[in-house]
Amino acid sequence: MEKSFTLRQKKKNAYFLEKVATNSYEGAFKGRSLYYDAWLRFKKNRIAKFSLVVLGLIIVMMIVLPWFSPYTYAQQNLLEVYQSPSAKHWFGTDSLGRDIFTRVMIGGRITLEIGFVATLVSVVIGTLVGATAGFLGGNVDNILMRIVDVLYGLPFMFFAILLVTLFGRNFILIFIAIGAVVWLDMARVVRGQTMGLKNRQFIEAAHVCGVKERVIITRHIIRNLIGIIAVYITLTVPGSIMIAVFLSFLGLGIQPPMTDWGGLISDGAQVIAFNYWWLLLIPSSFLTVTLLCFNFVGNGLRDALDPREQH
Amino acid sequence: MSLLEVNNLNVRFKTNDGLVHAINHVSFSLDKAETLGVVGESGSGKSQTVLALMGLSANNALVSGSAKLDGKELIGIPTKELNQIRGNEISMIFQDPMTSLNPYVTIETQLCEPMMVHQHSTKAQARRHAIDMLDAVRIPDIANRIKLYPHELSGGMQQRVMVAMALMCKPRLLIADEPTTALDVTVQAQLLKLLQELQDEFKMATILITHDIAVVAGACDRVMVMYAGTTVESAQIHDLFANHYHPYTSGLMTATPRVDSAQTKLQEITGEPPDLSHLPAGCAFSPRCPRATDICSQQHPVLEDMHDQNLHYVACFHARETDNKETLNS
Repeated sequence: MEKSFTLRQKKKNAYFLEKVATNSYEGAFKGRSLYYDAWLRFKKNRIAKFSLVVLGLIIVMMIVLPWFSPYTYAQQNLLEVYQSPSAKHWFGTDSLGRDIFTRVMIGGRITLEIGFVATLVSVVIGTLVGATAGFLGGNVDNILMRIVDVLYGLPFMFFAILLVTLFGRNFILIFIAIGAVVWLDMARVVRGQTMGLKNRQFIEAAHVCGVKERVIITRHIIRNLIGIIAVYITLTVPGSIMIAVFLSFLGLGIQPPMTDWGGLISDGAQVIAFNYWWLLLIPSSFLTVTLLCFNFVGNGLRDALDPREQH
Repeated sequence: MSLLEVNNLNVRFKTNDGLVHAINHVSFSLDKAETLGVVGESGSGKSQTVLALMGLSANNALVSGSAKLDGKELIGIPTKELNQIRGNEISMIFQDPMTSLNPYVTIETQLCEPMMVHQHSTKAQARRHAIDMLDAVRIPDIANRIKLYPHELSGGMQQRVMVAMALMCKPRLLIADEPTTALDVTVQAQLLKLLQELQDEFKMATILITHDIAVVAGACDRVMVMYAGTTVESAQIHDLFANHYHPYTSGLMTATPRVDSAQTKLQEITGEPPDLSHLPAGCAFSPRCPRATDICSQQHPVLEDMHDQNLHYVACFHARETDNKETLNS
């Protein structure tokens, strides 16, 4: 503490006092919000911070590196099939002589895109439905939650296969199929939290101030939910990635020659008997590392947001 | 005409064990710039009365009766109309300041909210007014603290912020629901003094709910004593301390520690408050009352004026038979 009373601090204090004298509030003491506190705690968690950096690197790689690759994802070279990793093809080539490095990067783009977009959709729909149902309660709650229950009861694989057979393999269909599944959990979690929040006294105080219910939901309820939503996002992104990969692995996903990690893993799995290890190992490692990082970040976030539950 | 007129207010809750009679036939009125103290033990319906006025009763509540603010009915009007009154003409301060402020929002934003809702003022106007109000509730150096979050203020400061928030739209009626219960005694005294000063400054009426009769003594013009959802005694503050007729009021008085007497053991009111879903047939206090006779368990006593100098209402069959001194010694 002694350190803080350096000359700089004194100058700072003098500056503030002057501010008070001139009665201006700009540049006043900035409060430190609970979320900022959580962020400080998160930064102390080394594994979580490291995972976040790795995730950031993977995402930047996926976006930037394909631009510099001399190959495109669909470019075939039948003279160079099944090449093991080398200086020319960093991650080797596949049965059609396509460059695996480029394909992993492009496939990663698709996979992460699906993960993030599906999560975004689930956050928007799930939060709105959950917060509305939890806050209003009664019949609104009943109707919304029964819809959620019905969608839960839908056999997912059947739903996915049905969509694909009816409309053909299509990028947007995958979003719909995944989106229809992942927002349900979000809605339930948010609803439960909202029901706890709505009886808190500051919500009552907002009522007393004459604030409209819609504004109470958006301004007070959702702001208090940001923490739990953030934690849930870190669970939903890997969740949707897993579903997307799974669909592609079964051949229900992206249309070739475009690919994603699921498609690449599926290709690799078919030729594993011939010792073409790079075809399976490289995309699976990317997938595993990404999922692992998301989980570590999620763990770190949860600990940071709820310091009481730390062990 | 008085500012607030409450007539025959009833609140019942539908529960699985039947109807809970939380408020029964409560009537009172409040003049401009007057302070009404409402006392009674937990569950006597103090808070439920004002929550009903604010339209904040729980979903399973059945509210009947009438409450008129300046002739405008408050009970049973749509939420939209109520929202124009709440926070604008009636404000409320809650018991626990730590939970009454949104922990994730700066006090500036929370203070500005009522004004932006009701007077459609800009953020800058609201902010300037917020600073004035925080200054009025005597938070030192407020211009620099307005961007803080609630958890960065002490309990007393938080309660001052709540008071400032309640005053943002210059309400005509301020309801303070046990505003000092969560604070320690010195802060409590400061806050009560502040409330009185603000009341004079803004010329607003106040309803002060408390279970601490000492708080009432210092801060109120008139007192209403509640028991089991009914008013048992209502009088000017000086009259009540000089002459209290209802045995429950006497019980409350003797259960309050006094500095000026050598009393070592406080007298308690024996027994427990009645189950509100199965109220006794007659006077609700009769099972615990030292003066109870047959009539008490058969009929409801009504509020009667005792014809002191000022209006002094008591609901007791035996109000005239004994005065407070006798019960004190008994």
